[in-house]
Amino acid sequence: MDYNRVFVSKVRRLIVVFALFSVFLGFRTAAFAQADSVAAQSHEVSAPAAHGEEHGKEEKGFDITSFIFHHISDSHFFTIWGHGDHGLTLHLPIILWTDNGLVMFSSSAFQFDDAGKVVVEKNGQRFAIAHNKIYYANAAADAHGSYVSHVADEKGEEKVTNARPLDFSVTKNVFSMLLSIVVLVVVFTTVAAGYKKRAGKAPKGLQSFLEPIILFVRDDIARPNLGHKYAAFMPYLLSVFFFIWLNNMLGLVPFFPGGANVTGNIALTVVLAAATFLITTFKANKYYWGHILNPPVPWWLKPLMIPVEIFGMFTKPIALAIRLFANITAGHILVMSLLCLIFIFNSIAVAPASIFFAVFIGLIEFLVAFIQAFIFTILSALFIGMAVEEHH
Amino acid sequence: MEEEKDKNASSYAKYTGIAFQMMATIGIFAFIGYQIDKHQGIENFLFTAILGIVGVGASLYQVVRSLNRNKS
Repeated sequence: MDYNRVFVSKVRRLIVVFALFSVFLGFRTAAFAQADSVAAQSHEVSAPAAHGEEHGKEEKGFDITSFIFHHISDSHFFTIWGHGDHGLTLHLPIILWTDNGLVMFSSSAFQFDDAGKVVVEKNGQRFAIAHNKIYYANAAADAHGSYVSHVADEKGEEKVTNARPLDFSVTKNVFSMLLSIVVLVVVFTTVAAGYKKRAGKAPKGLQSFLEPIILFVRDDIARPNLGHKYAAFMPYLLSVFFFIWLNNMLGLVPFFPGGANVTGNIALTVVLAAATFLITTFKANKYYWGHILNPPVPWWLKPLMIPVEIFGMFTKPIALAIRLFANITAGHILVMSLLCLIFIFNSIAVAPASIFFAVFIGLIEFLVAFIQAFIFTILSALFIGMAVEEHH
Repeated sequence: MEEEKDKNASSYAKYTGIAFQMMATIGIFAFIGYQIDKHQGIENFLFTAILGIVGVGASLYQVVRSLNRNKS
């Protein structure tokens, strides 16, 4: 299969450019929305009880920012449908390493609380959950009924000061990741068995679906960038490509078991980029280090250029991590924002336009899911290729 | 033709990457400047500004280098 058509055809190139552009727009809006929510929060903090009536009115309105950020952040339970007690929820296990050793319980113990109001006692210790993070609970509740201490820092951002146990919980993201690993292992062992059974013959079934994609990774990503040494890096490139692609696609599925924002989680993208960084660094040959430690510039520029080159080693994987994170998160925020327009205007009349655009962006996101997996893989191949290439 | 297409796809990927790489470079330099300012207690963010400018220069250098490398 030849995916270069995507970039060659003019119409499609326009779509790609528009997709990336709209993704950036979405990201900018989100940044403003976040600033707004911070301002709103600090307003709440500064005027807790005096504006009781006003506060009640504000809460009746639909809080789009917290709704969207709740959707894109990690969580200790997986909503299958409905909301809270009125729906069906898969409660995921909470696994904590505390001062007294290992503690495990189901997230149902917190009863959908997210403001530190429910205290769970286990193993002689008390835990409360606030903003999806688990803290050691205070002995007594504060004025708002919360068992964690909120302190506003100099910027007006609220911070929880309680100590935290080490959290090894299987969260929504971890669950989705494990699921995708199981799917990938099952699919690719089947495909590998197919090649063994039908050696030298035409592929069949799943095998014939995946063969073109595997060959695409080999011929369009690995070979042009890595030259004749491509074979050694194929396992890594294929794993990264299919892992990112599958998780991007799972993130687009709006219902269980999809919907977790795995590749839009900065922690995951940083780990993937760190893998590329480690391979680049440890597989690098002397020409690569020569370029960094002795760049081909006049001698008086060297003191300036050597640090820049060393920074370059790190900025490349950082850019890799941020791009994947930003694109996927922005896509999720964009779709959610479009759907939330209905609730902001509080009118059914907005729904057709809103749904049309959400479906349109959703379709573009399918393209973005593939393109981001492709870009991450091709840039990994490019960086590795730069490190292992022989001097011409 | 085949090689031409390969080059297209790979330079497409590379040039979408450049913006983020420039951002990361400038960001790291400015962050170091910010930390120096905070540590030294400098009010007018002198080092943030200086290292921010240096970061812009460094990112431009990286871009020019990656463009030249592509030619050979």
